Amino acid sequence: MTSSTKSVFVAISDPTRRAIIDRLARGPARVTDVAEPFAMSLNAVSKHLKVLERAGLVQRARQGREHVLTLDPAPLHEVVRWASSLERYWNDRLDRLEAFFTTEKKKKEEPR
Amino acid sequence: MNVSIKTTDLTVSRTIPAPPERVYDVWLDHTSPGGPWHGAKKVILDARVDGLFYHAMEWEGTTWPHFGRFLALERGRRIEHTWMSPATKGLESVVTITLEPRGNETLLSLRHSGVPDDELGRQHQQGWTWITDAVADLLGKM
Repeated sequence: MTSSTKSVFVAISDPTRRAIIDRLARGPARVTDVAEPFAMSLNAVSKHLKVLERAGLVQRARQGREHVLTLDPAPLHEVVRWASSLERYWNDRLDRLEAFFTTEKKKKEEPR
Repeated sequence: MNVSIKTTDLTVSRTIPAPPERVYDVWLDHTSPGGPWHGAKKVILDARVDGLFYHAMEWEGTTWPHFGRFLALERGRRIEHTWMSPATKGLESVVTITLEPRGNETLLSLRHSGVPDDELGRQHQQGWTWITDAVADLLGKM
């Protein structure tokens, strides 16, 4: 998994951020509109938005005095690609191979 | 054959804490729990160039038969075989495993080429459900 895919996983691992994604999937919105349904400070919502922006999922544009947020679903396709069965299948196989040798190594290193 | 199905490649790599020869031997040993064939309902494996393999895997409640032919076998360096399964829709995809020494460890790169691209598209919806359910689990592994 690449670090950019990982940052997308991190971004969507939080229920607030997933709710923000759902909101922006309906269309662009102002920061204050996005923050409105959440029982948290604007500052806390801004932190979540930063995570989404860093993952490339949300883009911010200035319209006059307002910041307008737009969803960019492209990075999600990368995640879906990763999640497709064949890639998961091989990752699972390599996880197992790695675990096998890690266990073997630990056994050897254990003092008798 | 003129193949009209759009295909794609995927690459996964991992550093394995063992020398390339050991990784090679375990990969081809279907009785080893570290090998990719382990856990299959049935395995037939003739690990020589032009040797054939068959294995039936249980994957998310479905049995997936896999067939292939070994194209290259170089101990401690490379394993290459064809791969046909329901996911390749009758196309002969190719799996290449390259082993490179990294100190006492091995950098394993696995490239699976010629995989039909539509499989990925078809799984978008399933992928989404799976993602939200499994993200917490995955993050533990990162």
